[in-house]
Amino acid sequence: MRVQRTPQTGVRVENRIVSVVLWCRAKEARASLARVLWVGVILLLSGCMGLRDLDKPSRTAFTQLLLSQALERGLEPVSLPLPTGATIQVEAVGLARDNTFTPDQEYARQAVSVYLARQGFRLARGGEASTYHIKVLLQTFSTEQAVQFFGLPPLQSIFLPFPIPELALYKSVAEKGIIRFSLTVFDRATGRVVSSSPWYDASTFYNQYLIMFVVPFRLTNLEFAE
Amino acid sequence: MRESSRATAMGSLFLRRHLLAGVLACPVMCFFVLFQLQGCTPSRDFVALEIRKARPVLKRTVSEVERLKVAVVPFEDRRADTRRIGTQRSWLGTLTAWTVVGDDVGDIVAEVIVDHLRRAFGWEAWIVRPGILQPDGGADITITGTVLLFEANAAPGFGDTNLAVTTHLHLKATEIVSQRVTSETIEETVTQRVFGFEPRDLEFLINSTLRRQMDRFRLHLYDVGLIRS
Repeated sequence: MRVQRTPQTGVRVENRIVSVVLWCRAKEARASLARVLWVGVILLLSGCMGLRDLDKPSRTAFTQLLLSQALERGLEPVSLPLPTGATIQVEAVGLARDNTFTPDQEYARQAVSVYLARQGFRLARGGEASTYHIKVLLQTFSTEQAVQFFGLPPLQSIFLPFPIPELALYKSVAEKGIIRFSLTVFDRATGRVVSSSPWYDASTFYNQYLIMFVVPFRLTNLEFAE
Repeated sequence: MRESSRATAMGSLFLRRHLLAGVLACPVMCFFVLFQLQGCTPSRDFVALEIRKARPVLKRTVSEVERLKVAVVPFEDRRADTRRIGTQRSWLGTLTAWTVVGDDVGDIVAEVIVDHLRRAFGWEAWIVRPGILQPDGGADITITGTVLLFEANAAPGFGDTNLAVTTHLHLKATEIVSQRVTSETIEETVTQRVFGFEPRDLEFLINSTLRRQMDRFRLHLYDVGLIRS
């Protein structure tokens, strides 16, 4: 029996042949295709990484030193006219956001307690009744910052594919720690004021300078080991 | 033409008269302006000085045996005006009167002395005040005193300010065990010239004057044999 080939049948056969050939070639390339896909996935994941930003602490080490050493300097002239050996309890209050007790106030309280203990006063232990209650009023215990810059600030150009960094002819970053406080001594039994100290104030500074793009130097009255 | 020249002459005469009047009025106006400015200067009745704050003093540490226990009683103020301790006179002639924080000179002087006994001598000192309990064992020596004169003045100089502090204190020390009593009146006058006067300068000067008087009283105590070192 003779099969008569129509033009549609011929096209269909040719399509099948092409499909088979492609299937065979794809089978050969299947092993290398998996490798290519893996490389693609890795490349895509690497795009998610980029450069990791360093975690910036809420307060740098120098800011903490500015605060703690300002308090230390402020305590130097403190002198309470009480007999040594008296049992005391210290409380610190200051202006804080939302009237919350901040770690700064707690640090100030502990630092004043330690200083007075070194002066010969005895700190009341937990539950023990103290003879005197000392209230530390912190008018301020914070830092001030000021930046002066003369030069070209960092620019993101639309023509150049990379940003132009900051070019400082003169730049100064000044940070100052300031404290002002007073101590009031209350007789715990009667609640009366026994003694009230003057306002003590002290400050520390840490200034960084940059001149002509590359010459850095700093001025500070902080005491710390390099 | 004639009318226009006459008008020009009248105009120049008018101008000349007013110019002369303006020149004459200038010094008079300046005088009145200064007079008015003097009225603008704030008239401050009393400014409180914090004389307890001192320049950094090197703290002395002594052994337990040498460490005297001293109770200081707030001083009696025998001055006629117990509030005012001096004045500051400005160039314009206005006067600012000084007082001490709390207006109690005798009490503040006693606090300065307590601080000096602790820091400079290394003694154990405290102030005798209602509410302050005596430590166990009590005091070895009690110091009482009287403020006889306390003057702290600031006067403008030529480009600077002259400060002068004069204090007369009558100091009395009583040894508790033997009940020996010794007393001395110590007068001290210290002057200083400062550029760019601030009340803090006067505060430090008063503080150092009181400390010097206490140094002299300590020598007196040593001379009479009340203390050994």
